[in-house]
Amino acid sequence: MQLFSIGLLELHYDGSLKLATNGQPIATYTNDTIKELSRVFTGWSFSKKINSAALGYVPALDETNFFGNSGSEFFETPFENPMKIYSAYHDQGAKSVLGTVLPAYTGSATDTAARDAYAETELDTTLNTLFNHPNISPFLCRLLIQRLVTSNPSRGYLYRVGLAFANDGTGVRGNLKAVVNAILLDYEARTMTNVDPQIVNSITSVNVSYGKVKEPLLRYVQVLRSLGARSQLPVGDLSAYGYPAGQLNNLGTAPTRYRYPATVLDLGQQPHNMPSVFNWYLPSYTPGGRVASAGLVAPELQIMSENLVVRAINYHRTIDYSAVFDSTAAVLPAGQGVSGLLGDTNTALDNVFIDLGTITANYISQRTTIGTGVGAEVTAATYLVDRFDALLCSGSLKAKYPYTAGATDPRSIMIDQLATITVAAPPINLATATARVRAALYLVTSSPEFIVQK
Amino acid sequence: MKNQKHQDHFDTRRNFLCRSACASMGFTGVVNTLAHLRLVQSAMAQAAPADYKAMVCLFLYGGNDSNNTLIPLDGVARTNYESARPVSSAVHIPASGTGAALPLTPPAGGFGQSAAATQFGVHPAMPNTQAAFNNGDLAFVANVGTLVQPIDRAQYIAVPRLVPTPPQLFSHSDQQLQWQSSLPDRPFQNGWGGRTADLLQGLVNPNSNVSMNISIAGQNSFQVGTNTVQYAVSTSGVTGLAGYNTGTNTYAAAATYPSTVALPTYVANDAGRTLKALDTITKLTRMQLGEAGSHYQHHLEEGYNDIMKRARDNEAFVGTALTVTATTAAIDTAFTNAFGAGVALPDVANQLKMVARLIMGRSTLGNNRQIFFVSMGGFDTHQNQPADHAKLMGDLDKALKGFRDAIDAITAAEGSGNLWNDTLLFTNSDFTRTLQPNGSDATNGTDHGWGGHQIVMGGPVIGQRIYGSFPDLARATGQDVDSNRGRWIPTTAVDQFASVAAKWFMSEGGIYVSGLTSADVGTIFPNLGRFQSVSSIPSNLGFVDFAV
Repeated sequence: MQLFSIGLLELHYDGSLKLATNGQPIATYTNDTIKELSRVFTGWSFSKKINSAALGYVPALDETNFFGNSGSEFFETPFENPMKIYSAYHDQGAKSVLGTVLPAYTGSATDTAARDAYAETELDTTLNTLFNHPNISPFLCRLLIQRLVTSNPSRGYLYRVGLAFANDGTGVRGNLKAVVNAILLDYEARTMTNVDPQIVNSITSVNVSYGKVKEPLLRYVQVLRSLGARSQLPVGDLSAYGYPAGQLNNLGTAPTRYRYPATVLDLGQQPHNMPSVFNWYLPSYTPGGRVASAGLVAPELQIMSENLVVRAINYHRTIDYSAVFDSTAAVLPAGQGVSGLLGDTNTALDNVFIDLGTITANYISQRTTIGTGVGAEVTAATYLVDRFDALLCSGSLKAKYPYTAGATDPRSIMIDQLATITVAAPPINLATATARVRAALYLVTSSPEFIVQK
Repeated sequence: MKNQKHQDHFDTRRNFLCRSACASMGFTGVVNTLAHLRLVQSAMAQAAPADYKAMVCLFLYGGNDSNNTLIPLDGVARTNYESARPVSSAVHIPASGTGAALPLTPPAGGFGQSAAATQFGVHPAMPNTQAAFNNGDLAFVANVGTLVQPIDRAQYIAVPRLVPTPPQLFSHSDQQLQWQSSLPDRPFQNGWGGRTADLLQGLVNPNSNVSMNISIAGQNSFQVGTNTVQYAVSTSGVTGLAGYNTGTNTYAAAATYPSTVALPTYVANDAGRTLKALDTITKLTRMQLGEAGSHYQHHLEEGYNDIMKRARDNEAFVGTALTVTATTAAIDTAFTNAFGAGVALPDVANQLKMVARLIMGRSTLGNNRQIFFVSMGGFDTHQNQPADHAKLMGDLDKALKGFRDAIDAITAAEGSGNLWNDTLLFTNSDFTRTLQPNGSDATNGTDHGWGGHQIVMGGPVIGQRIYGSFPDLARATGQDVDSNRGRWIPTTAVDQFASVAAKWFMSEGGIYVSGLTSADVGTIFPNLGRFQSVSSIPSNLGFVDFAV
């Protein structure tokens, strides 16, 4: 309730607090609600367990013991299947959850099917009560907007999305497709006035609070996805692990597998490894300093300690500098190591690398076209910065910062410095191009324009 | 006090500032005026303290079952303990025999908790804590918790409840936040560690090189200030940017740094140019239009860049502080001895080791007053409590022992002073846990409670005492909010507990540091006056000897 459905305090559709007649916020539930709710959940446990090692752990078997041995955490069978009710352990008394009265079981004490059905119905009724709670719309919609668009949505934005949750236009409540549509297609998410510099009273300014910091995990994955990351593990290998052939055939032979490594120390995050149910950061987190004094929240900054911002840059550097720069080379680069997980595969094959072969080849060709005139190196560097800017920052560097030689804005700085890295007259060789391409990627992915999504 | 006249004048100005700020900014304005106070104070050229003090907050995340950390061995509290945790219960800790609590030696005149018990013990996995307590290095403060106002059971169960209670009792994240802010009845704005730094930084640390607030446990709310920020280092120290090193010198391939802190000279090669571009991009943190170097006007970009800038600025200082290697080996030995050879140190021990190393390098950091934040997780023992909690208590016990010995090792190496007398460590935790467990076997545990017992340790601590008021552990009466679980209404507010440590931190040789008065304690703890006089410490909470 606190985190995933209705939240702690009653809200209006626009996300503002409802106040009681005494002027105080109204709690959505009390400790008594939690006690009642916990009675509803009594008797639910795992429905499946893993098979024996001799049978390769498959297929999953039906669990019959409420305290069932769920096996090693390495095997996810119990957690992948729906829970089931063990009526003997279910509290069959009358309960009351958030105003909904749940009557006591009155049927036969020996009728297991009826007792199971009673518990199922009770759970359904409880979940429906939560689902129909007026708070679920403003509470969940704010979290969704914070994840998808901006950390500090306006009340109007929340109100419009909240209405879409309540009714998708055809009378259906909680249609997530309609909600996500409403979030992404809202004026506040689409308008360029939020991201382009605006001239107000002759001063150029931007909307200084719009957008969200990309969490380090997503930032890294964005680089992988944007730049053709792959490993040397064919997906076909999965057939040895019981993956259906029909599914594998759909994928073809080209795709490779990515075994996600342990990145807690480098990125502060790792999939399925949150420190607690509160995630790595709270939606209301605000760091000290100017974000706080502007009255804003920046949830993702909660992960970013001084150590982690530096470590993240170093982690990105590894993959930037160990990329494929020559698509025709027989020997693949070392890439990013992914050791540290369970399983027995060749680590070198596991390693993931990004493919900058096309970009490097294009750059070499561009450099030749540009020639040797005045400013040729700057023009060449500009090509590279703009290419990565378009791929990774939605072109916002270019939109915000026209190049001026010697200026101290981030785009001009990058271009000026890159233009002095391994200066060479065309036709340039692969090594010269590589030095510039990887430095350009490193600088763009280290820039706040990339780190903050707008 | 020698500056009495000065301070009277100052008080008047502060009151004026406070009143005017409150009027213009509303209720939370009091906290915001800290910035202005600091400016006024700095302008008055007060003398900074000559001594050093380190305050360490150790947060036990998840809600430590302090009912099994400090255990009554006789009296009505023992009877009630055994009623909720009978011998048949796996969470039971016996008063004698196998697996018994380790008895604490009472001071002359007894523990002063005779309404509950006259004999107490600690968890059997805590022999070092027992020894530290008996040696006078360590004390407990009983039944501390978040409170908005003093409240008793009758007031708590009254319908409607007319005395306000902290919102979202029994909820981890909220109770952690309220412990760290000490202001449960206000939206979070800053932590009390942050407010302390806001108020003191300019006064006590005129030669400061890094933040007064250092965290070894990542970002936390305790150290969030309005004008000061926390600096986080990891258990392995600071991390430099990769790709610019020559041998062990982090940036030698790309830049040379002058001996004084100034802009580096970048080497005319690829590495130097790349580092120069990176430094310039990430140091453009001036937001205000028109200010030199103003490019990232965006708040979130600035928020990120501030972290990056701090990382690079502080890296040099903290890195240098950590190179004071003379006693690093002795600090390592202290922790190794505490845990035993070949035992991998738990995270909390590594965090406290880093605190010790930073205390060792304090002259480089340049702070006369330093606040550290460390933490330990895993205390949410709903299940498997007997084994899990014993492991946690053992780790905590050994980590505290290692920390104490490490500080002594630094003193020995420095050959003068006594750093232990400059160190005050205290624990915090979300809440204690229900006295009545949620089942009787070893796979069961306990659930969320409220008021719990905390440890205070250090040279300034008047040890071998149990402060506060130990509850009689009676269920459905006395301090219990419940019908049968045993969740104690706190008798000491977090504000009271914390303010004693803060007063020690704000003083030198028993009097407030020049420029501070007892009224400033009320500025850090705006709610303190609801529980006690701001200017004095209640007799049952005087756990610090200000003369040490």
